[in-house]
Amino acid sequence: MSLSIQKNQNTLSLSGRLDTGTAPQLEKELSELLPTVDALTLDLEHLDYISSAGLRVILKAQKALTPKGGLTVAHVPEAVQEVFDITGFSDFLTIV
Amino acid sequence: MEPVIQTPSPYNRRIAMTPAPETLEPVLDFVAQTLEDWGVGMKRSNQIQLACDELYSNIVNYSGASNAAVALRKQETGIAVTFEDNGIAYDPTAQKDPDVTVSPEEREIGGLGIFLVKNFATFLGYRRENGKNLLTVTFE
Repeated sequence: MSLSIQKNQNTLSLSGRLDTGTAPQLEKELSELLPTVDALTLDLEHLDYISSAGLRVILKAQKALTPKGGLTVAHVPEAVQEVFDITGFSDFLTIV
Repeated sequence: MEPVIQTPSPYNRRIAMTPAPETLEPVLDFVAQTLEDWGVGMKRSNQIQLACDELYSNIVNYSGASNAAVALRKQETGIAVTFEDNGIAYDPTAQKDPDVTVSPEEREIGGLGIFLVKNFATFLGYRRENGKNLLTVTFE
């Protein structure tokens, strides 16, 4: 049950699970990265699962980036899309 | 103290522990493994794991409990998960739903976890008994 984060320029690729236990890891990575970028893409292709802790971190990133270039979420798997839909996150996230 | 797994019967499994952040992973592993052993499909299993993540994390973070347990039962109609803790009285079913139609600027962070659980579950029932919180969530 873990999360791995790979950085490639302005894209962070997440693999594994973004849950209560692993969300702080992403939060830490973002707190270092966000001040240095204008825009960011989260590639979720290999993300198996997301819980509300993960949504919180994504919401924080969204709020931080909106005044600049914005946050984009890419390759969203079905299980994660379902969570985005139910919570209304799909209404304000830029999903490609 | 390591979480303790009990198996009263093949379709009734329980993990008991002193709630702490490092117990979250063993609890979720236990849930995932149990659901796999019982042949629960991936989508349903993900939803149940998410519910356990949310509800058990709440116990760890907010209840002040010294003892807790998560029990799973496979029934004819589906899976029933019961969360038990001896912490402060807290009824998650009584919480107001977050407004999921407002913009991110106005969004509140809290309440999303229970909201997701309510969406995925067929039934949520809470009661307080003998100084314990008992929450049952069923997935049909």
